[in-house]
Amino acid sequence: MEAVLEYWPVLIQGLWVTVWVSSCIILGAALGAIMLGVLRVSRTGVIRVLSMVFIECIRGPSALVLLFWVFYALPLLPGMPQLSPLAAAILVLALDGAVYGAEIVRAGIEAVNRGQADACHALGLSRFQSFTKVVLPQALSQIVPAFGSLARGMIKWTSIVSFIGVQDILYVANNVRAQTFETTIVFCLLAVLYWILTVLCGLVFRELEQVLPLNRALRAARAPSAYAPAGAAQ
Amino acid sequence: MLSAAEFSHSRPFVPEAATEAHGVAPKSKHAKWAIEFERISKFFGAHRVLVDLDLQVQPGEKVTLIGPSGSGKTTVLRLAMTLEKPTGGDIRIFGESILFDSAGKPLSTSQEARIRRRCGMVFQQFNLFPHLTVLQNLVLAPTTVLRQSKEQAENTALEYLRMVGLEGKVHAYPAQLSGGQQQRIAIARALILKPEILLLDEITSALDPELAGEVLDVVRGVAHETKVTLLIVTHEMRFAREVSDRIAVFDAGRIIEQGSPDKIFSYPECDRTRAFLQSVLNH
Repeated sequence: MEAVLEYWPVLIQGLWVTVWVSSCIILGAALGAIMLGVLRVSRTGVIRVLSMVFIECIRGPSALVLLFWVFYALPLLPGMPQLSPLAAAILVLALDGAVYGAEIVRAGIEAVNRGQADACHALGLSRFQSFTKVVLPQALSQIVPAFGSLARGMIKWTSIVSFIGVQDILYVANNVRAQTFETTIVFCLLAVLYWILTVLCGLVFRELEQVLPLNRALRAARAPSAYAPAGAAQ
Repeated sequence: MLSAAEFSHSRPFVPEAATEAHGVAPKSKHAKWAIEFERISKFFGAHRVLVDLDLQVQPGEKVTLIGPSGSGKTTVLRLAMTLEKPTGGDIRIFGESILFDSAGKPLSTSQEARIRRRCGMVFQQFNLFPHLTVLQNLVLAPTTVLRQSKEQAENTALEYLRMVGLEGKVHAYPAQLSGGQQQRIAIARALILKPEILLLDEITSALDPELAGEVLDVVRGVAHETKVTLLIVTHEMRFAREVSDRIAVFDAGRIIEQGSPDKIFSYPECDRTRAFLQSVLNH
């Protein structure tokens, strides 16, 4: 154990890379998921089909194959750049997260009662205003918990970035194991670190759920208040 | 809730003023009608819902559509609100088509929105925004659509809340209110935009009779004390008889009979109307 602890500065550095990559891909996936999710429910059939094809194309192959493809095969195509290992890792994992997240966003949007959009239309709100002020704030109550689970999974996906040389916690821990031969301890430590990261991520999303507008409204309705309970006429 | 007399004084909307506010003046030969359905047909897939429907409503007139479920009454209101597009025919609001421009081309989104703004609609299921408070529900459209300042919109919203007797619920969320209260808020939310035509789609169907009464009181106030044109779909026959200038009876996507409430309820001409009224009034 002491031999492993001697390497704590590099382990911390590796952990930081994992945290950084995780944060980037979760944020990127969230933005991508909203964009793709909106396209998935577009009224224009062509846009709907194209977005579905794109999602299926990215969701089909394993993330590792995509990562190898972007890092090793893409630069061989004329005019394509050679991405750094970190850029390739973030691009691929964010995209992979976005396509899974898009289906969560689509389901969240479709779960909002159709009458809400009708009411927006009757009040003269544009489709963009309806989406941003009424549909999305309500859909987020469905989207965020499911996306939180996906985000926890995405933290674990980052372990594949070491395959193209990104010096994340797995890459560093493997080197430490090779130096110290403390295989059991190193992998236990690795498991604990991933566990801590995913639990922290879960807590962040739980907090986020608390501030969502619809959740706040429903919590207020459940709490004893000055207002008459539902069912009582004034 | 305010009495009818107070209601009339607190009433902040007048159709003429609203017309000016919307910057739209009636122009064509059809302009004498507040709303006009001309040979409207509507199919949902192979299912025919409306068949060559002709219906004209004068400004300020209160028209109630009655008939068995599935006869196309709600579809008429949804078409007027452009929530559905007709399969054939034309619909005009104060003489302006909500489907085509003068050259016969489909209206742009902004043109349609401008005309649509003269209508308001209240739904059977209230459709309040559950993530917003009562006040936020009321000010959302004035601030985003009419670009009113938040302060101005809130002041107007408070007037309308007073009008429907719910000024004490400003910061409540819809889930904290009874069905009747929610529907009164929905009516206030529709009226705050000063519509010249108000479409009421079975607004008491989701309420028990006690709560329905408080909602109908608000509508009575609107019907008796204002000049707003009302197009109502309801199964409340007593209410229909009381507030309507005209009743149109629907069956299988057609108007089979129309006339004054007295004529329809006391001397119906069609057997189908008689049978429908008998089944409804006996329940």
